[in-house]
Amino acid sequence: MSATTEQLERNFTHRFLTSLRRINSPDSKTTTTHAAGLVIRRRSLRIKRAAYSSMARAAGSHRAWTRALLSRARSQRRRQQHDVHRRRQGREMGRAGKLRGLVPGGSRMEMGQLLEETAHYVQCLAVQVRVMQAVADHFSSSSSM
Amino acid sequence: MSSRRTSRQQSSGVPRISDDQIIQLVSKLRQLLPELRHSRRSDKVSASKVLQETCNYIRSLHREVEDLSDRLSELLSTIDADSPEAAIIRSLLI
Repeated sequence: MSATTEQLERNFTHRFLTSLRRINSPDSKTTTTHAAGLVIRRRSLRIKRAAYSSMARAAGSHRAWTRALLSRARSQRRRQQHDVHRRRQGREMGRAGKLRGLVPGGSRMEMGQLLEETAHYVQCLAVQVRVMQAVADHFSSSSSM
Repeated sequence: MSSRRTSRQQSSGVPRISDDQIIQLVSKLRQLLPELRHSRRSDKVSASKVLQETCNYIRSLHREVEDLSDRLSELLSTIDADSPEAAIIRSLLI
């Protein structure tokens, strides 16, 4: 693993674990089984968002995809909006249209930038998944002891 | 090897990158994809195949994040996240 990937992994891990502690800390832990399922579902969403935000922050604001992701997260928090996929016209929508929909901010990028951002985004996603996997494995081995 | 620049410019004034640069980036992407990484460099893989595989790969990573978030949420309800956290940080950041 390169030095920068290692650094990214540490940075992300630290932020993500901090988020997990914050997410898990509310004292109002429900005891009824009915509400528990809802709590688990809602918490899963918070964990997912925390994972993406932590990675975007760890990766740094010099990347267009990280800025796009964080600004989308901010506007979702503010307006509680349903995330609507808006189609953008022009800018070679035909080519790599699906890819543009998958990479944050991709619909606004020219092809060269899109490819570059995609490469970086893919690398970061792989790190994110690796760390989340390691954390989950650790938690599940702890709880089975 | 000449690098051809396309004649049209973006409306914002940012020039499009050359075809050679695109080829380089596609090649770089190919190296990142688990499906295509192990094939020989000489094997011809079309750019559209690389893009398609990239989309598949990103979607599968998104699904994994989704599944892992569910799993973590279940796990957090069974343990106290505070106590093992120090151990996790230590073991993951060595």
